[in-house]
Amino acid sequence: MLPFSSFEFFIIMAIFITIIALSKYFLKSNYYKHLLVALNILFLAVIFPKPYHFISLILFSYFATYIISDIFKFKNKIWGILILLLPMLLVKFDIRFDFYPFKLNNILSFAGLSYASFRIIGYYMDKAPNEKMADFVSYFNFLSFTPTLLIGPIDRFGRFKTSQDIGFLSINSENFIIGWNSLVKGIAFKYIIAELIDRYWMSLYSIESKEILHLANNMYSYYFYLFFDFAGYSFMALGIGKMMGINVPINFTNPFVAVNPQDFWRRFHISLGDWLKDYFFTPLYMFLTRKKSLKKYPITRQNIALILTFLLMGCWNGFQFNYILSGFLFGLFSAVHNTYAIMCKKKGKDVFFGKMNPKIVKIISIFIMFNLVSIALYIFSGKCPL
Amino acid sequence: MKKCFFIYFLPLFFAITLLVIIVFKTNINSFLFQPRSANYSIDSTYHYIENFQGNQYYEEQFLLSNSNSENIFLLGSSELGVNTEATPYNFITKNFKTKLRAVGHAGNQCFSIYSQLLANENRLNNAPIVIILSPGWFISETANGTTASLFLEFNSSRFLNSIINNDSIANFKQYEIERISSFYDKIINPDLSLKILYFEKKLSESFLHKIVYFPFIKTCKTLNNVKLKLQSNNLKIKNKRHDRLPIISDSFIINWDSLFTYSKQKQIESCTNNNWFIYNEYFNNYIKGRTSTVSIVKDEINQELKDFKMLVKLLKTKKTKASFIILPINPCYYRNSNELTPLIKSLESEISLNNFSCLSFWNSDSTTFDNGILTDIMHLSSYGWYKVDKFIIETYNLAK
Repeated sequence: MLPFSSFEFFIIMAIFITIIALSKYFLKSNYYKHLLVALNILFLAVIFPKPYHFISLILFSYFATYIISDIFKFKNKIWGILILLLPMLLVKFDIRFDFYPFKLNNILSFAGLSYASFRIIGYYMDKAPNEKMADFVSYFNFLSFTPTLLIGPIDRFGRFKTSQDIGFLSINSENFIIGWNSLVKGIAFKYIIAELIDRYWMSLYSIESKEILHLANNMYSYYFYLFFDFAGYSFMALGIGKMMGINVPINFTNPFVAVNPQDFWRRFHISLGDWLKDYFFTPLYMFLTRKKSLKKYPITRQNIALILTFLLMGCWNGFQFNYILSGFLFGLFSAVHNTYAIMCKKKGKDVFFGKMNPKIVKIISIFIMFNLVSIALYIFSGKCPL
Repeated sequence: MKKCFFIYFLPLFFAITLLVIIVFKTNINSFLFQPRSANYSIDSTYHYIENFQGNQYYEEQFLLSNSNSENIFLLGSSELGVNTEATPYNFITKNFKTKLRAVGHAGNQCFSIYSQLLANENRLNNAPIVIILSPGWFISETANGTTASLFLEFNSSRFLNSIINNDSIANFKQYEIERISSFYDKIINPDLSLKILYFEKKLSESFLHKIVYFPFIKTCKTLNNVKLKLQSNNLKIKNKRHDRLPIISDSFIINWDSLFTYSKQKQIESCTNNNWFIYNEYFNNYIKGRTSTVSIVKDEINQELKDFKMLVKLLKTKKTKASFIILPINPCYYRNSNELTPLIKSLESEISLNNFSCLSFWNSDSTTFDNGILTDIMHLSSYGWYKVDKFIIETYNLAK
């Protein structure tokens, strides 16, 4: 059974929350992580569909990180990243062997692999060369924390560890209510609103129809569906996490009112946007800055880094044309906006809207951004018949 | 605390109470969720249905005789979609008192058929069932067995519940549970019956699993019983016939030789742009002169082969009047089709070991292949279907 896949999952979570809340009165605060690891192992071993896969990934990533960073001390982190991403790459590239005629994905793939890989890379990148390895229990909890196991948000080890260290202290009625509200919000988003959109709005017209009104309907409905479905998951994870004593980062804050691509990624799948910025965009930009041929072109450097970052995001979902194209589009939007913002800054005025009323500019920006995102996500969905 | 009580606990308490009342008070539940239209008409002259998902009211008639004649059931996959005059559900149904009903479309492989039959095991004794085996099921990805989505098209909760509630088929039920568990995680929003079967598998894994899953399976079973009660109120089909009728032999003379010659000639005439005997349009659109190879899957990891063996075992145990048809593949298009011969031979020997009749069209030699039997690379032409008709008519003594 996968997290959030049926009502039994919520019963299990209710039991976990009760156990943790009661244990607060019997266990010392430093035993919180041990209790959490016991519950996470229980979930993986008894409930999760491929427990050996997930536990093997945790063991592999822990020891690989130790060998790469503490024994061999690779200076260039790219080799470490490639080694740690190996399980995910084998699945995404769909490599086949003669002795096994089926897709390798059938044996290697498991739910949550992508998100776990992101967290693993995050830990490896954050780890300073001489920093000691994290204690295994905390590392295990970080990767296997049940509410975020399947679909994120993509947490950072440092943040998770801080939250874990005060786990028992965070369990109080105030946090319980915050968690409960978030859980209810997530349930309403995922199981009511997204479900209604799926049943009654998205299915209004055939996905093969090329009529402009049908295309528009399918495009907008998909954007709303994706948001409520995905945000629903994130709010449920946040709520359950809070009730279990862990602060799960907020992942969505009303992306429909974003005024530009930068603003959009501060509101939509925030943890992914931050991850890409910190672990891909910034190192890539620094790398490009060191290139002599690009030294004179700072805007080009930024734009190349932006487009490549979003291309990576597209590829993360799979090496299919629709994912790559939607990633490229998001990169293109960001690059165009980046150029526009720099030009405005240079000239000291808005080069496109001029002296137009800022309120009207904001409304137009929201409208443009909303439609651009809808188009990119429609392509991402793979349902665009054009 | 007071605020907490009124804002959170009281509404939650009311919500749970309301839910329990709706679920367990059948009359309220029935009133709220009963389908609005009460009359479900079933076309008693139906010949072919693609699946049960869109035709759930035919589930009740599956493997039953008509009110005054026996039905032969033809189960298979994509080939059944080739609707010609020669296709058995047209040819036999039109010309004989004994009718032939076909069920299936692409992807209805061995495990799907196994499950449909197991769900109706009380109707299997002496039931005339013809199963068309496509070699395509046993190669490359499809050798992984029936996919989750295809399985659900043919095996509704109605069928799965009859498996759950049947304790006389322990071994077969166990296989069903194992197989469903293997693809359970690919099912979005699984039905209660699927959950029960999956939880039963989990329950048997360890003592810890038993403790965790026991309450779930109990809850699911309780809710499932409520659902079944409701469904039985909503789905009452009259004039069901559970006893098998004898197959009537009609005095009907068919000149097979002339049918074969004519249909073969027609098929060959439709293939003028190639010498592989593939009809022109298909050759132009899909083949374009290219050849292909079959990807052989070893027996040990061939799930479809395991499913096939269980299917034969079920048919044998339940004493059905089953027969099999093994389709060929075009040896001109599939360059290495001879590599599949050992697997086909093993299918044939499994069938004959269990004393079932079999018509095997398999021939991997392009020089001796009966050209015109296929319309494309793996689907029968009218000539091929007439051969099938002859086999069915002779196997079940439809003609005197």
